[in-house]
Amino acid sequence: MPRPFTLPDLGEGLTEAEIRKVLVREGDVIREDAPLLEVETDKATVEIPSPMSGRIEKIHVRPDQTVKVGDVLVTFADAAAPAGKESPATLDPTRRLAPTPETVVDGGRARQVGAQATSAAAGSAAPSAPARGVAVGGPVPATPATRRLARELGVDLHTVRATGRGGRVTDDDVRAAAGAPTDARVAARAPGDAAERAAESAREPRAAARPLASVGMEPPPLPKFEQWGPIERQPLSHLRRTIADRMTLAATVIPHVTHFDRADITDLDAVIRRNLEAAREQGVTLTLTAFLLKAAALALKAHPQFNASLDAAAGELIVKHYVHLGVAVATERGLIVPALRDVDRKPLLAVARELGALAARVREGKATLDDLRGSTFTITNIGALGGTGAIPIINYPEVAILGVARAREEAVVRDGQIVPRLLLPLSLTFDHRVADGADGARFASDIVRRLERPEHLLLDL
Amino acid sequence: MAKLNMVKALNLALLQEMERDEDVLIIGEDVGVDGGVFRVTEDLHRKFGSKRVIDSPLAEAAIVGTSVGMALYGLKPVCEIQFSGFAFQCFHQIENHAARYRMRSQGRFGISMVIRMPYGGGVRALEHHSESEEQFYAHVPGLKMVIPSGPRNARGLLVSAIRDPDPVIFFEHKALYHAAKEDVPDEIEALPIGRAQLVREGSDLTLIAYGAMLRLAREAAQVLHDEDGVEVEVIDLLTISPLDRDAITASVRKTGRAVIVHEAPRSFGPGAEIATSIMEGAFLSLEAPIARVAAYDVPFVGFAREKANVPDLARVLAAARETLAY
Repeated sequence: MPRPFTLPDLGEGLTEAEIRKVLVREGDVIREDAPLLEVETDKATVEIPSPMSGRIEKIHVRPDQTVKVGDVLVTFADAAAPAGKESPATLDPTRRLAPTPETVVDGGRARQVGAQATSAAAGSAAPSAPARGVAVGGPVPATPATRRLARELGVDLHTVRATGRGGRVTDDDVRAAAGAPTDARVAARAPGDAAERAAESAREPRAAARPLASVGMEPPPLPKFEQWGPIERQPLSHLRRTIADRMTLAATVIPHVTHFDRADITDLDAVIRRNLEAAREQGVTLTLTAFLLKAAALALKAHPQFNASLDAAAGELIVKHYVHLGVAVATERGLIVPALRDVDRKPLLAVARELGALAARVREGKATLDDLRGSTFTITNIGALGGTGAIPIINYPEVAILGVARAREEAVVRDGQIVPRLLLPLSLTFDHRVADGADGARFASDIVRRLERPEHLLLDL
Repeated sequence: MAKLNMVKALNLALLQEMERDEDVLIIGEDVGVDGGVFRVTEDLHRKFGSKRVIDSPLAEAAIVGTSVGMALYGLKPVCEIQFSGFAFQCFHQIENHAARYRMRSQGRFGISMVIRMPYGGGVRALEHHSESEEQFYAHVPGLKMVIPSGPRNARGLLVSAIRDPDPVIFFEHKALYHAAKEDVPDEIEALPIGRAQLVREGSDLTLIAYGAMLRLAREAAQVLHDEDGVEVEVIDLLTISPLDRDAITASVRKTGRAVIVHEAPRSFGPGAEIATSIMEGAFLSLEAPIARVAAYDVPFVGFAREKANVPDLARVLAAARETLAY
């Protein structure tokens, strides 16, 4: 139901006033207390603040018009919470509010509030009443659960476009804001009505199609594929875009080189099998990956240049004195690489336990931002899916990544005899700016040695 | 295993505990020859005689005061107050003595006693016969406050209350006495005090209730499942104090939404404490404000209007839907 707003009793026996300025436009969505009109009375010029939050449907007055107390000034559309209830920080779906507390929103423009800029709340205040600006730096309406999500994704709620009821920021709003700068998306969208927005936020969040990050090289335009048959255009999901940007960056910036090796894990496999049950009693599933992590972590201590990042701008190698290993996890949505902390300092069983928990969190979509950041070296094990080997791309800004394919029993010549042995193909991709082929070979064989002699893992050798 | 209503189940708990431990005795108005106003102590006088099933004068303060003395001596009295609305006659004995002796004697003496009281509305009774005043007792340090929701947990909790080394206030909802029969095992079963039960699993909303309100919560959960397609988790508190905060917050961390239902008046009722516990334990999981469905802040109204005062299905559903749609 539209709600009319009439000229309030301005006090001091005044019965009429002259409109000096109209500070809003039809269609504007404004908050309670935002300046609406400037009117001049016999005594002073006062700004009339909005009595409620909502969208302005119609403005009934124009500058220089004289209005009497009780005349309808503007009509609000029924869209927002009535005045007096919890005030939303913003109701305008088209605008991100600046987070500075000095800024007021006046229906299209943000202005600085000076001590003299606004005055006189409708009805009661004398012209000398203190300024009542609408500070938008205060708490943003959002549920605690949404606040947690924002914290995890590193999103400042003040910068998020709110689409929820009563101007509330929803989980989807936060995710959208975490995806990319929201400006482009905001500009592309016309202000819809509340129902439309609600329906929209109820739908599966879908990333808007935007160009991927540029790496300084424009690929030639694509041909019109329609000429050869029907096609369909699918916007990339947020995760897919992130992967695409990161891969392009790594593959473009880093000169990759890959070193291949194979580890005889016949003994290690026996160790794992022998201890499966004992580990399970501790609630841990013993996997080859846990041993790979441990072997790589110990090898990284001996080859610190692979546990580093290259600061190309500074011309420095940043060597990290912690070993947090990224583990590539395939999820339904795409590749995610959570980080396992301080693998070099943890016993194998703890590594296996944390790996299981971390992978489960990632697959359930419950990984926190902390789970996903800070890795110094990455292992990608595609053994479960088969293959004889793969050349992985470095997880930028790390300097190396270890690819692991499926272990197979093969005929191996040992002491002049052909014996069946279990061989694990490994591929170490590293940044050739940081290390040479010989360094990579030594690092890889250090990993292989530990896998072939599992007691070295036990002894931290 | 026998199918028993709550009256018979409570009677079974008393019978078996009196057989097991000769220090256990019963005292109250009409508990002896008459078997209690609701027949919870039926036949016990015949079995155990006047020394262990004591008909008291019509004097609540004397019932509890005498029991405090007997408990100090080492006996384990189970008092019956005919209606919880009369208990303020003995509140002094409960608050000033029963609840305090452990502290007062620096741990030398505990008051191992149970005070049973029928409570709650919905049975068209008179004034002082329908109140829900659990919050008075839950607020007193040194007391435990227990409210079962059905025959089997009533029996198990009463056994634990009798064995508890400290005073336990044991509320029995009148509307539940004959409401339903349940399989109750023949062998003694003790249900731990201070532990809530998850009676229905869900992912979208947690309904927290106890006593007669539990049935309402379960009904609401079913309706919300059938009509709204949402899965509601239902928690039966069973003990009001000490509150099982872990069970409550674990559930709300999962569901993000909570509605508390109780028959006590809303302001300063158990819902306030429960809601605050959720804020403290599950704040960052909350998707909506915590809602309370409770009786209104009026003295218990006469029976002609009592159904309008205590929570009903429509009010629980409305609160649940508002919380879900927040």
